[in-house]
Amino acid sequence: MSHHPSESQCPGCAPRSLSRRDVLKYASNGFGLMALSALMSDKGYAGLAAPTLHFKPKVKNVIFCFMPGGASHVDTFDPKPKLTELDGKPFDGFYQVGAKKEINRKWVKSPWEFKQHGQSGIWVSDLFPNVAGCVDDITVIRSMVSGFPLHPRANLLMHTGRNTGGFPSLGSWVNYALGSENKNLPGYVLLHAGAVPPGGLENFSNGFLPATYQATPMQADGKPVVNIEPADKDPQIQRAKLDVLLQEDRRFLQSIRRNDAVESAIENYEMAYKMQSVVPDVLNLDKESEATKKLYGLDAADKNKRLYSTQCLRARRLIESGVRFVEITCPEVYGGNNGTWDQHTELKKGHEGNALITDQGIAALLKDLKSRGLLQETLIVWATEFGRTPHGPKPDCRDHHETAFTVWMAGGGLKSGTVYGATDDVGMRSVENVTEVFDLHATILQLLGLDHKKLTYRFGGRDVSLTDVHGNVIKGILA
Amino acid sequence: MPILVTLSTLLAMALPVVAGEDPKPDPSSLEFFEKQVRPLLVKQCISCHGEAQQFSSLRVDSREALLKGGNRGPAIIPGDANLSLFAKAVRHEGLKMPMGSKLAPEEIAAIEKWINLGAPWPSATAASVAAPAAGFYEKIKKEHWAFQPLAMNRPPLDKAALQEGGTHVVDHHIRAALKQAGLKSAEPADRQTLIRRLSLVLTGLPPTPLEVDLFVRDASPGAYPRLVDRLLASPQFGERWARHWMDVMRFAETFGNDWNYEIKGAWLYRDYLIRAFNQEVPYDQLVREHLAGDLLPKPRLNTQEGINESVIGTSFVRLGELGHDDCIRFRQIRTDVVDNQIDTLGKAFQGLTVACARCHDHKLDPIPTSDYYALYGALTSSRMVMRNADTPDVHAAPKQRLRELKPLIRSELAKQWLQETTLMPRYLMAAHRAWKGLPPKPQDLTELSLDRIQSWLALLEKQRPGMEEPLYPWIQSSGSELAQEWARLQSRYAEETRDRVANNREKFRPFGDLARDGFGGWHADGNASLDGPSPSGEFAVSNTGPAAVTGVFPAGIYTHVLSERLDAALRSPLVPKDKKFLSLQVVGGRMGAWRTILDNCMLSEDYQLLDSDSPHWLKIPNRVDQPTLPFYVELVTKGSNPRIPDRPGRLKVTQAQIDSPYSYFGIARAFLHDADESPQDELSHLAPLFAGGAPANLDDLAKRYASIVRRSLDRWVLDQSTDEDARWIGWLLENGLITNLFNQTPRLQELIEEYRLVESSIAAPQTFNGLADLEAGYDFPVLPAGDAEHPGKIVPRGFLELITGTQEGVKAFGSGRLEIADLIASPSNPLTARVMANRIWLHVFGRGIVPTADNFGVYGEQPSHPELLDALAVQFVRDGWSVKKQIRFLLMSQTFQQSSQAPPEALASDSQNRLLSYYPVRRLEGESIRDAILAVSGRLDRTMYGPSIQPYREEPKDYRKLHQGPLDGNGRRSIYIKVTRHEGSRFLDTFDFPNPTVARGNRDTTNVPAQALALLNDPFVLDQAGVWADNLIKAQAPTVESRLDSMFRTALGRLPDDAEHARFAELAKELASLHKADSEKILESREVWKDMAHAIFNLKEFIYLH
Repeated sequence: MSHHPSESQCPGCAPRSLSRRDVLKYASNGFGLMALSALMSDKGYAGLAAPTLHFKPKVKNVIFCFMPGGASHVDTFDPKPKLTELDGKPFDGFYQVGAKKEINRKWVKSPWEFKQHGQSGIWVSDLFPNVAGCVDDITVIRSMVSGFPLHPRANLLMHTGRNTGGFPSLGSWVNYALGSENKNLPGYVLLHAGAVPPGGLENFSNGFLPATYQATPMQADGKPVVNIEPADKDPQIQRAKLDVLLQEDRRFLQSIRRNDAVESAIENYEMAYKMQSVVPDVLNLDKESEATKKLYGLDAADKNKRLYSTQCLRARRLIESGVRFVEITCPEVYGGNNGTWDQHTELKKGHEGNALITDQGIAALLKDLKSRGLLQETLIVWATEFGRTPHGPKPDCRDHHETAFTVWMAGGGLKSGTVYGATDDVGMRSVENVTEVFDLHATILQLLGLDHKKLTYRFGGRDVSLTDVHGNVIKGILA
Repeated sequence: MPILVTLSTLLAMALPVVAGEDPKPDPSSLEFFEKQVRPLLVKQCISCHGEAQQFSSLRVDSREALLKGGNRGPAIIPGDANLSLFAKAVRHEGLKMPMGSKLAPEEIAAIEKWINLGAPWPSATAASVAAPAAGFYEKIKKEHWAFQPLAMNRPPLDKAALQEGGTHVVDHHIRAALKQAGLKSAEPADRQTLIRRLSLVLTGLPPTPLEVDLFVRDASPGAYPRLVDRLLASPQFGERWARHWMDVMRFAETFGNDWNYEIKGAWLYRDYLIRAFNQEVPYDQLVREHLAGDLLPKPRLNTQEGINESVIGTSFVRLGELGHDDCIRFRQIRTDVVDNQIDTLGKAFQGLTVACARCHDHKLDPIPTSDYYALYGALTSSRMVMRNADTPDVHAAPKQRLRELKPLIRSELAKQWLQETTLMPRYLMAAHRAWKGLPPKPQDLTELSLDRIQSWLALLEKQRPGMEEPLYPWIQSSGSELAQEWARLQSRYAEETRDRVANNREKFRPFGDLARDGFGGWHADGNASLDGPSPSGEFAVSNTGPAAVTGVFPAGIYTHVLSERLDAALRSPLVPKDKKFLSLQVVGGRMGAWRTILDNCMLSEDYQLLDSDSPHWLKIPNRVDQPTLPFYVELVTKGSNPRIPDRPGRLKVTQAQIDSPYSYFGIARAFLHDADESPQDELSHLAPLFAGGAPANLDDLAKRYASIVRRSLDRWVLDQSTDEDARWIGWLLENGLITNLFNQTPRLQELIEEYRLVESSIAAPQTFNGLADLEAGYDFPVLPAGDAEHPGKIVPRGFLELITGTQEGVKAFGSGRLEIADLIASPSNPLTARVMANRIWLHVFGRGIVPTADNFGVYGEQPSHPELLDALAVQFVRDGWSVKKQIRFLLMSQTFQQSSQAPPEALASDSQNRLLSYYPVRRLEGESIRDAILAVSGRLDRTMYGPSIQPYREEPKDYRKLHQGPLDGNGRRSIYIKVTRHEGSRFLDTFDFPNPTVARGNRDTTNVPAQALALLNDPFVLDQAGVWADNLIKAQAPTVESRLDSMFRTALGRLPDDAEHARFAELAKELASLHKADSEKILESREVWKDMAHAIFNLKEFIYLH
């Protein structure tokens, strides 16, 4: 059964029953709600909260470019000239909060040069020549903090607002609230190249939200989506089966007189049938112009760069087709099993490699969306789970650093070409406009027209939200 | 509660409210208050009539305050806005409030409406209220339905009502409610539907055609109860119902987090549940086993399987997520683990969200924060350890035989070794000559073994430093002035011995005398021979290779006294923090390990493998940096080490070493100390060398060595060794100075071969993650706001005040789990029986009488049929807490046996079928869909129990323990597919397999295109369609029609009707043409019948329970 989407806030309130048709009407063409309507379990335990807009939305879609492993802030968007001065001198502070005092650590300067770019003059290191060309469209937050310098926990926090598994991912929440605009496509898509960041698929899980809202992984290489390729090679065979199924299923439906869930399950077959062609079609880049392909770097010599660029271009096509939330993760080339950007050693080689793989595709996405007028209704988030220490046990290496790191965003509703917040002069701590992951989440929801405090779901005896008891919208970056 | 009230609540109608009464707030009116009224109060009124100021002595920030009113009397009369001063004031009748402005008409209307609704106020949800007002909990305890005692003494059936309403108590209550709503029950279901429904509900598998036929044809009145009893007695019943409980237990087999370590032996818990549900173990017993199975005075022993069942129950505590962090840098990592344990315990057994009280007193249910930390104390007072589920007598026969063989081996070996001692002086002298560059004696070259001379020579040439080295005196005294040298040596040794003994006595405090004093306060687990320490001279027979023995040891505790296949854990008492180090004298190998555990962080990185058969000292830093957190050290064999298999690269071991059945350790002594060194050797083994004056010459000294060895062997064969004797024999063995070959005599070979054969019959230990109470237990502080860095007042460990009626906690030695178990598993506990009776109902009817199966608190949903639930709970207890009896009782009702065809009136007025006017149709769980496919295709392997099968994966990730499994799971039922955190079985996940993180009594049943895509395109489904096609073709049906009959009967439990015959025959024809199959030989076309089978798997009727 479904609860009326607008009646949901209060503890223990009894939901008004809706017929499936009411919900369909209410949900217009939303894929998410469509599926919700078919939720047949008596979901007394898990009540549905408000999938209505709380504010006028600034953007419709999100593309979340996740840099797993911990991309270094002091080597990317947060220049620290002081580190150049201190380079090689002993670091005599505390490595991490609460940790034992480390010995034999030294300050490590950034191996890359920083320059100002664009009209805004935002500093970007040489790691990202292409993104640097787009700085006037982005909003850099230099004052992020996370809870734990441990990959799985920090990854889960960045994705689900909790540092343990079992909670819904940001993309799931967004789809739960808004649904997909294309009923033949899932609302939350994970574009990957085979690697799953530490924390596993729980990063992209629906948690306690209905399974509808989990991410659908789409791979860059080979068969992109599980079960999307028709098992029947001859389309006529599948059609023949589906025709008989439809008749048989209607017979079954009549035998039990009426049942919303069965009815929806029957309709799902038609939808699944269409998805078999729609999904590959959306992912197919053949129809893109040569110029576009070149812009994204699909002609790159580096295979991993090609894969990442493919996913960037697919991300554009997916959101154009109405997918709400697309996450792109990085191919795991340098960082081993702990995430791509996890350069405890060979910082220069690893970060340079990862930047090479991702820079052109992301910049192309920014430019492409902008030229199509889509950037204003899309939010691009470039994020990592934590930063890297401005010091290390030896040169050319940095460790996990949760007390300061950088993310940036671009798209509608933001003050573009600005820098928000600051770290201290060596990048040890965020000191100005300190921004928590919850704040980032609250802001993303706000831009989508959602109040992070009101977007809740009844589970385990309470109305649970993405930000729990935390989170403040980052007003300073809103246009 | 009268049913009328329940109904109106469900239909969200306003409750009739009597003025002045404080009604049970109706959810929708509460919502109205929160949305429309509270904001007004906050915005317009609180600044003058709140906490800060109270003009006219009036506060409006609680219902009580409004009722009490201010100087002018009560501000509200609930139920009557016209009489309420508050409403008058906002209407500006007389008083004009708020000051200086008037509310908008709709705002005034909202306040009026709210008062007319009875002024419902969810006082506990007031965000600013840190602790509920005094008396708030008392009120809820008195009023909330679920906290009221079960009327155990009331007759369960109302006789008069029975005669009127029906013969079954379920039907009586259901029909009474239907009647109220103007509805009726549906017609009885037909027998084919009934057997399919029963089979799926009880076993999760569809009935076979034969079963259907037998039941349909059996017209006798006893047919139905017989069928029920047969299905209840089938082994598949336990598989189905264990899985329901596993949802509640957030069952998983890997720990998740960084490395997704195995939850070793989690499958033992799954098997335990299956056996328990099948054997009708009473639920109260199961509760006791879950909470305190390790502490029960009389554990349930399964003699057939050699399993202590009871102890396995405690696994449930350990099934949550767990990382390898030491929980110190981030205390929350530890408190999160316990939080999940408390959450699961509270929801599973009591239907209470106890974990809500982690940061503040529960805002709705009477659960103060002190209750949460009382439970925290109880849980953290137990150690989270690996346990062994083997019964004490497991392997008794082989162990007995090994015990008999050992003395025979010892005496045969001793005989040989004693013989060898006669040549020992000559060997030593020969080696000495070689060492000194002197020519060898000719007879030595012919009569002695060159290898043995080399062994002695090696020792001399190495000149190991250290006065404890047996040849140290020899090396020092090899000059010409032997008598003087000897005198000097003698006094040096005497002095050194004195110093060392004094040093050891002064600086080292024994940490349990393991060798002589039982376990000296240490705790042993496992099925190795840990029934006591071994005397000096204990030895271990080598189970592979050419060696006869692996060593001869000083008095101590050794796990491989009989076999390296036996497993063990030896755990220290909590380590006192007044010393900086602890030193252990150990042996060990084959991945035996030492580990330290701080604050129950069980996957700690702080462990190392043992790799030596010679007793040596381990020096382990004490955790003096953590003065308050419990810390202990444990020695474990591989099976009892929760970290193994470890993550890649952590240990330098091969897969073969991990897979080998062998592992062992031994320990002789343990000390605590501040000095940064381990105890010194006290040189006692060399005392005999200095007894009796100086040797006349080296020959004489060599003979003295031999005679010491001889005396040691004489005592050894009589089992009268001293540690010194063991030391000498161990030294000879270690350095190859005596022959250590299993086949050095035919008799020895015979004995050791038998020993090895007997030893190889010992099965792998059944170890799992469980609990143990090893110390007095300790109380834990409240952590205000859940902040582990800033503990508050200490609360006595115990259980919920709601149940115990006191804040005193349990008085037990240890954790108090056994006492808590008794409090839960008691007929006087108002929640236990209700919660379980509701879970049983949920799985029989698809929805609980209380729909929120894990939440019976104020925030949970109301029961649809409260009296029925109580009657069932009472009956459950009276029937000895038998789950099977309760299920059987429900199945005997007409309500269960009615048709799933919805009466038209019900569709109109009770569209959710909450009143059960027809049997609810619902989709099968993913497990049942998969199992049904396997059953129908003929692939189902009904083998029960055992280690799980890895799920099939597109991309296995071995480094995170996400290994590849077979596409068809070897045909095993889904309950045997491994539940791996991070990524589970994709097929099951698609059909709402619950995320194994928190208790989940109610599963989702979503309905998404991914499910259609899975049934259409998943390789598993296609593979099984092929298997079914092969079996169909093998069965050689004469016609397409008869094959269709067979397919329908197998998959759907019924025959196709004429239209279906025609439809599917037509499909077969069309498929044959599309596949270009010979239409004459259509019955033999695998492609056609694979597609036909595939189509049947995709029928809604196939995946719906109706």
